[in-house]
Amino acid sequence: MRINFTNCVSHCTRLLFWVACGFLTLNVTQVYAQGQTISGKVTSAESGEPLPGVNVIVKGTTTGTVTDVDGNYRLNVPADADILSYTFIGLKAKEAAIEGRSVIDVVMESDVTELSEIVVTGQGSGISKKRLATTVDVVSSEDLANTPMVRIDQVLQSKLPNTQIQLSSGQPGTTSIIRTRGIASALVSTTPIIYVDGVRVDNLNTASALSNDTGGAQSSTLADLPIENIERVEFVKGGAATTLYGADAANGVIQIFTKKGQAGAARVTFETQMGAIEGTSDYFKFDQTGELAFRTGFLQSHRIGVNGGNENVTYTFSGNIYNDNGFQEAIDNTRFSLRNSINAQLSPKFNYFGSLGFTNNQFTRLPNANNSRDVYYGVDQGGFGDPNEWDENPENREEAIRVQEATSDLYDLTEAVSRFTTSHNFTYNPIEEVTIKAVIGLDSRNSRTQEILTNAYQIAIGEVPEGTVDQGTIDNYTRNFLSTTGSLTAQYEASLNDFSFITVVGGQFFRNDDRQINAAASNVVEGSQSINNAADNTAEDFIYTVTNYGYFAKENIGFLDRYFVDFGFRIDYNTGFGSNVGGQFFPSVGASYVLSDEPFFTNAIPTSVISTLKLRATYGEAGNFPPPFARDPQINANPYLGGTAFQPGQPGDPNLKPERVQTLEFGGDLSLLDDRIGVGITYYDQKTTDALFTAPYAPSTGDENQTRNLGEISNKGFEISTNFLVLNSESWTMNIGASINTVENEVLSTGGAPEFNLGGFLFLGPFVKEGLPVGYLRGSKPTFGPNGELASVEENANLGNPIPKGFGNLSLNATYKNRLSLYIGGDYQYGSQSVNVNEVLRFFNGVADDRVPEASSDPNQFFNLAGVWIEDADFLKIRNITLTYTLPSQILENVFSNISVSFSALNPLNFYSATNFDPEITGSGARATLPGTNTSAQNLVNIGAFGYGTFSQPRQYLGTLKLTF
Amino acid sequence: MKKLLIAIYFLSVCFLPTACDFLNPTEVINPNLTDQSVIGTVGSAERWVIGLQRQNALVYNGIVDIAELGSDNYVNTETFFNQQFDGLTISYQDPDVNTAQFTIADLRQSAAFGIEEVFPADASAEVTDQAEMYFYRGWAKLLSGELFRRLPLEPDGPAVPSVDHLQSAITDFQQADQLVPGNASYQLALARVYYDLGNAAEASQHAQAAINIDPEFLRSVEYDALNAPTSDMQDALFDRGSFDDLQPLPRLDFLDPKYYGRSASEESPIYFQKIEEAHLIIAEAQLAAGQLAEAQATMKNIVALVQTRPLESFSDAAEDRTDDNPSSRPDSTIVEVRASPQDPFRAGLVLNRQGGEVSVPVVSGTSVTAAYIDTQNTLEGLLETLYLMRQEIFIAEGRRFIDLGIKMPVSETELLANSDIQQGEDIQALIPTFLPTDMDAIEFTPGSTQATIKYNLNRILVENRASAEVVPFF
Repeated sequence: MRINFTNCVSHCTRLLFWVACGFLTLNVTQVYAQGQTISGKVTSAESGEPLPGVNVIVKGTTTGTVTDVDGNYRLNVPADADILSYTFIGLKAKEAAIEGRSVIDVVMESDVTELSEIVVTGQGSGISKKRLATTVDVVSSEDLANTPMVRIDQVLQSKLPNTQIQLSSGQPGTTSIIRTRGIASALVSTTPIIYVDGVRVDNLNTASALSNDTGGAQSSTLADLPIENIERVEFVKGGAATTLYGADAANGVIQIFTKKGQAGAARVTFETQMGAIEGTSDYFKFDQTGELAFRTGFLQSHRIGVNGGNENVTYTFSGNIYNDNGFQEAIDNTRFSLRNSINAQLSPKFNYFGSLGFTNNQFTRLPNANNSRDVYYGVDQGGFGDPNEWDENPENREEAIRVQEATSDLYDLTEAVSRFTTSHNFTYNPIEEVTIKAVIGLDSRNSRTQEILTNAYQIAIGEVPEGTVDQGTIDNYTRNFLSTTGSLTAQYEASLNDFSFITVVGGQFFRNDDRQINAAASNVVEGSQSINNAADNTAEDFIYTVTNYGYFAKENIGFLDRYFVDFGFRIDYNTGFGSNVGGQFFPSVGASYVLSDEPFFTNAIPTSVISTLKLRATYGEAGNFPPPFARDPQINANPYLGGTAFQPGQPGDPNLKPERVQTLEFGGDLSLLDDRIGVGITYYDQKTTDALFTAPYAPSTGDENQTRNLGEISNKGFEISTNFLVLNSESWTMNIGASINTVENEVLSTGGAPEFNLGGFLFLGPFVKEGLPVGYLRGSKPTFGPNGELASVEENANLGNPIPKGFGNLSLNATYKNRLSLYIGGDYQYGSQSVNVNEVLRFFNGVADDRVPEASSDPNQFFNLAGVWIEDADFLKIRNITLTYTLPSQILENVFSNISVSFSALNPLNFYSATNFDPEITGSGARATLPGTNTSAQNLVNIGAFGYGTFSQPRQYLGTLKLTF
Repeated sequence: MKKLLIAIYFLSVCFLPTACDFLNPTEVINPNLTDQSVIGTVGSAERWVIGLQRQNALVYNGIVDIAELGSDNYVNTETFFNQQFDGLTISYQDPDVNTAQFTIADLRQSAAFGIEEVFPADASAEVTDQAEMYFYRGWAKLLSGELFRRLPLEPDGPAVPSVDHLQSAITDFQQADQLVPGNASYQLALARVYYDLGNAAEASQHAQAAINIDPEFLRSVEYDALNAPTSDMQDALFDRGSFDDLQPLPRLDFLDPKYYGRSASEESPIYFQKIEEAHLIIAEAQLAAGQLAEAQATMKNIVALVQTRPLESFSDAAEDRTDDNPSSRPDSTIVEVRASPQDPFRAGLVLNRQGGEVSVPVVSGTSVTAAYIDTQNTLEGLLETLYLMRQEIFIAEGRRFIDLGIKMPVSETELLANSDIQQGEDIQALIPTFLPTDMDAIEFTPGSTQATIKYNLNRILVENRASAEVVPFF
């Protein structure tokens, strides 16, 4: 008998889904066994302050609670219980023998190395960092608290030591570039996949396939991911550590965990934030640009948080209203978000945790970048003559003001997003050693964008002649995205003599449905905001549907609690794979060794000198799956002049499979001088095989570019993060953190495909070529003679590397008497190059600097000059300075449990090497078509490195008042 | 017991076959069409022909702007359109060379697929569909032969000389003509390809046949303002919404912009076949045969024909000469222009774009009059006039580049992906040695009333008419 394996797998996946659904509605009633009640207080060893939120459980069971805001807890424990376990992120775990006591007070110490911290690295329920052969970056709620920001990538910027996050524009809702270990793919975005409470959420961080073009600034789904009420964020770097996340985890995994409530009476927190928002003129050549473009805007944010519950059920709720009216006229952003969670211990063996988040985000934007409607940068690019000569030529100033006013008053681009994310986690402990966990949830995101170009506006900016009445246009874009996730895992923990075992097996599926429509109208009657009032309408849709399902297993074996080996695999199936491609096997294997726990080590070296020394090495594979439907040969049916035009589309590839990122990494973690110095070092050697290239065929074939598994890409480098506890006295603590990460990127092979480009301009763009970095900047390189004449031109020269050779973060955390705290965070990069497109445009407008000699300054030959506009893109930016004061408890009386006041300056300082452009922003690259084609696509790699025409992150000066009742 | 019942219930649901029908997360349907879902369907051949028309529009987007810049017709003063062609730097590494090659090959291969796969499978297909497929395959080969020095004639094939493409085009045009006799388009296509090959007799015969079928014949490439493709050349010449500024040779100013925004939903077409060409071919053949009087008569007929073609009026006030440096080039009716320092100044060639609407010929225009033709009594004079007429009538259609004898090389992408492409001649452009690289240079002082073009290329063509690259009947 022949078994249809695909159908079998498909059925299994459905089964998995149904089993997960079964957990959703399964309701079990249990009665607690009688025991004793233990209470107590948990305090900090360093400060003596009470510690809220500490997990207190009866060891070996799931019976537990968390400490309240005063550090107190009360717990019913079974009669046979003998040990209580106390854990909290950032603190060393502690155990206390009950020994008949009814009151147990505990003092907990901070854990700088955090080896004992529990993290969720795979699809299991959690594992201590100590046992891992890889690293996990954790951002705690305390870290998040000092960042008054509203989007996840902005929050994480400068907080993840080995990750670079760049906001590509200062306009609301726009994309970012998130990179960790270089660029592993020449096709797929470097944005990590994101889970909220175990559920995958939309992480599209590029232009969606159908989206408006304001000349580079594109909308990102990261701008509206509900991030209220976060307990912590974990980031697992791509490659070896993300094998269990499978076919698209090569860029890493961000996991966001919602807070669980604390038992006790409801605690209410109010937070009000107000301040000023203003554009940064740091990068302008002309002062007049900022004077004309910017005005100081007002920002306000109001937040309420409630949490409470009893021993069995806790809840949290958080709501936020945010508005800023922008640093420019006609840019504003209003946002409403809600998030709640419920944690219910349904029985001693059965736990339910559910969370729900909703966001409504609305904003307006202005044209920018490579767009003739970009009036503001038009000033800085000399589009209105030399602003320094406006006194002599007042008509140029008047024209700039007139166009600026017309754009502010008449240009109309609005976007509104509604997003709903929910997760349901069911945990079942049939026996003490086994944890079975089912997760089901979804992310539903709906956005609509409308751009109206009235005749009046087009006349005002000189795009059409005076008197035009029939060239108004309206573009409506809607995107409906639904992602559904289901997973079922079982974790078994066992000990045998000196061995300990953690075994995880499970399965997971997710399905993404992405449907987009562009409905456009032309010849629109003036004054209409509906496409109904138009002579001509057109529509286009875009459908992306993909289901991925996989099975995984992982074994972590410990010996003497200091030797650990870890191995696992995942097998993934994906509806985007070619018809000849079956399940994809992703293995991982690793080992770690806590040398500092060896008796000989502790005997030889006091823990006051070296408290922790851990060595680790691992090898693992993860993937990026190909775009849906890229495997299929297509005939394009294009609308054309009222008919349907059949034309050959992509040839298709039945062997299309995920690109595979193989990572070998090794390193160590070291804590010195009573944990005053912490150092983590990792060397990684990452190779992408079967890299997905949408490379051209020979033109003589007439074949459209096809995504194929053609290439090989290498990324190598070091990741070093350090932490220094500079001060730790009765009154003072000061922590300084710094990291440096290096990247050496190279395309090892193009699989015989010709060089191809990844966007940019005709004369100067990022290309993919064997032996050079992904997206190396290609263009003509001129050499000038003694009189400035163009002596020679090297065509298609390698002009620069868009990938920084190094980047990292800097942070300072200081507290005085636990009342006054100062946080400073920033990041930097070096060793990459960008294109100064602003200067290219200044060249045309006659306001350029002297980089092009007079004798070679024929605008008619500027293609030959490409190389002169390449500049180093080094920068150091201070992103956040926050000073917080917490009022002494004695003046709070019994009304408040806490009052704090903060003052923040966001994006206050910028240091950079480039000339009059921000190397971080990019007005290009977030493409919406496959390389070399007109085929709509999204989630494509964004090389960046084109600095122009969009404003940088604005400065914000904020005051925050936080009241807790 | 309760738990057990619940468990049994859910397990039962899970294993019910109907549960799978209710929800199947692995079911994914590609919303697009595949070859399997198109071939054999009713109307597929007709739609395939519409696809070829659309592809031809993309071909013209791929070739016209670079060909115009690579001639004396237009100069690129400040745009992201190609800059290398302006100075006759035509490199195999130029991405525009690759685009031109690819779009033409796409047209050829699409037409071949239509002939071999789509047409035979469509029971509703008509012979006119089949003829059109042959026509477009021939058209792709014609353009390959006219624009490229050497090029593969087959996918991944070796590069063969332009003459092979032209001869292969004849076969396709003849096939189309046999399927649908009496079609002016096919006759005119044959006339053109024989003209390219220097066969005056065949060219004249087919040209006359085309005239006999339809003395006003026009065939256009149409653009779709709403659904794309839109016209790149209209964008380059008229639309001011993006960063572009192409400027015509001052003596051709009255013909610019040939394409303009008719409305937000209507683009200007490019007339890629028009009966004027048949007369021009006949006239050149007559000159080659020494029949000067007959040629004069034919040329007057052309003038008369051109006068029947429409002028359209519209505002071109958004365009300056140039956009960045207004008044740096002739931009007023008071400016007289001479074709070279040796030629007389002529009035009436430059328009005033800021003085209200301008009237511009959108099919054909010429400054040549019957009276002027009467003044030309020599072979050289008439031939130069004839090439001026070709230049004027075909402006913004990509033809001047071909008349100047310039041919592009095989592209770098083809070289890298096709092992049959050789270094050397395959990847070298053909540029006649007598062409100056600054061929669209002018002398003009802002504010003055006279402009001088540096080179009269029509005269240079006549002087070099014995060269194999140009003036094919000589």
